[in-house]
Amino acid sequence: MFNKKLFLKLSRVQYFFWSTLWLMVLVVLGTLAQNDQGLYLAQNTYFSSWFFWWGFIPLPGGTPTMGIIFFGLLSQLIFKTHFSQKKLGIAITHLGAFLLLLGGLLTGLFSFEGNMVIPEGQSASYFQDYHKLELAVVNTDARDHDVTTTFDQGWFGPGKSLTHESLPFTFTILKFCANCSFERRTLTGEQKNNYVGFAQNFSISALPLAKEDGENRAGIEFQITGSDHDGIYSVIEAMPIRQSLNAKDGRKYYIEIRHKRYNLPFTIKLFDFEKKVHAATQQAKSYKSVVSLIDGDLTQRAVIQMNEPLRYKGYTLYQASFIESNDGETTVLAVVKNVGRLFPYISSIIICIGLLIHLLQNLPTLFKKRS
Amino acid sequence: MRFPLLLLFLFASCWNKDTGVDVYHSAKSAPPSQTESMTSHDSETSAPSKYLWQAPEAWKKSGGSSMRIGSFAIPGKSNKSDEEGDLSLVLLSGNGGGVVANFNRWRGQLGLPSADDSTIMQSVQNITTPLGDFHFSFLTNSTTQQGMLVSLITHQNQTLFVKATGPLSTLEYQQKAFLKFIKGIHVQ
Repeated sequence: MFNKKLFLKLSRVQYFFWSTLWLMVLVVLGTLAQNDQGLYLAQNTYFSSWFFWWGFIPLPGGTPTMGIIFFGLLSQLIFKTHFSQKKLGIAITHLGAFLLLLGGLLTGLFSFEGNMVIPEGQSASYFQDYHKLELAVVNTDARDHDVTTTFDQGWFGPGKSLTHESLPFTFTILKFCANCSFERRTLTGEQKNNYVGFAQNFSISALPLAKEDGENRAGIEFQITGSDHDGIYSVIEAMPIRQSLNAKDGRKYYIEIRHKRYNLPFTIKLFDFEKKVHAATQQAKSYKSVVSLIDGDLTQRAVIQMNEPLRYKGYTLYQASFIESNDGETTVLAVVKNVGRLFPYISSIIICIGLLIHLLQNLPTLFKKRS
Repeated sequence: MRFPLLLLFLFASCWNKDTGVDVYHSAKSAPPSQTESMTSHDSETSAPSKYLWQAPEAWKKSGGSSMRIGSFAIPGKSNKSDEEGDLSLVLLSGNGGGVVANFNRWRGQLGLPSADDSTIMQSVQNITTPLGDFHFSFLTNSTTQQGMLVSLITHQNQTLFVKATGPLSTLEYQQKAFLKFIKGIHVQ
């Protein structure tokens, strides 16, 4: 049971000390693990987790460690800080550190990042998450728009049943792998009738996760009931052929597994992508995207290049990469929405002010001791 | 509720953001190269595809020629310049001459004699990818110590050739990466 006593206990210096020390250990472990596991997996294992396994021993991850520091500081601020002139510097420093952690919490909970891929001359009004996946069921009957129903990755557990009022059929998840291999399947007679589309030709099985999350290719196998052709379907990421499906009433759908899409409240159109290379090499020296930002009646031309992002409505668009092919150039923009973006700046300033005040207040004592 | 902040934190920490269901309208997405129908799988379209791939970091993009849609310099184990191999991606319309003719052409380039259909088809492995099956073989000439990792696939009325040439030691070292590379080729 949480009570004031426990809350007060967390404000003790030893909790802060050992938690901070353990956080340092986690930073070292996480940094070393990045070499073998890749950045994303190492972050999830050591920094975003509640606990992780060291052999058979469970050890606390970054979430409880930072939680203890967070509540310790909060408790210190509420119950133990005497806002006297003498302790002003310390109180301000604690407030700054608390805000830094609060910013981290808000960033972890409410921030999104991903990339936006736009070929020259085309527009996009969404970006795709780097890591999270979704199962998208797209109704294509309307002439001028699609109606998309998406299920987030948390629904992909085997046996889970997915249904929604916008859909005339039900999915039952049979298998999901974040990184799949697919082998040709040979089915005969009755068996063949159970499998539909891609699943009739290929079976999917899990592979170990790749070091870089972008190298993983997710796949999912599911049973569909309530359509005009029920059976076992499977889809994998970036399938060259879309898996179509019709409802009993003739409505047309296609299904895909893809990186989660976030719709933007504006559209970006790429006019031109320019790349400069170092002399006599293919190595990029600089590259930039000349874009048009379209938001209702507003149309604004902008240039996005290295170290010069475009900021609009809380979103920041950075020039991240590009794709060259025989059909032309395509820009890849990194899109970030971070509600806690200003916290590190504000809290750093507050911490500096607090430490400066504390130092100035103690200068006379220091000089007196020396003399 | 004496400590609403504490409860808020615990709630927020336990909140699984990954179980959302969303419904929205969007502009029509770009049409796919084709659609997997519910019953047929082998229909082909003449629409040209834009092939995308992800090369290992160690491979350096090279100039290539106008025939190539992609070109890489692939390093050997010791990363010496004289051990470097060359990888090319070439796209031709139609079946590009067929499997046997192409494998015999490559054998000729390596200084090997032509082989009959059954010998070639026995030496060719099928590598399954989302595009379909790549025909793959590792051709070697032990006299010159040169080799070729060759693969081709006919997809949507076009044939994509992926070929790496160079010293045997380099190609043996890069064979795994080559196979992973062709498995990752997909259309946009």
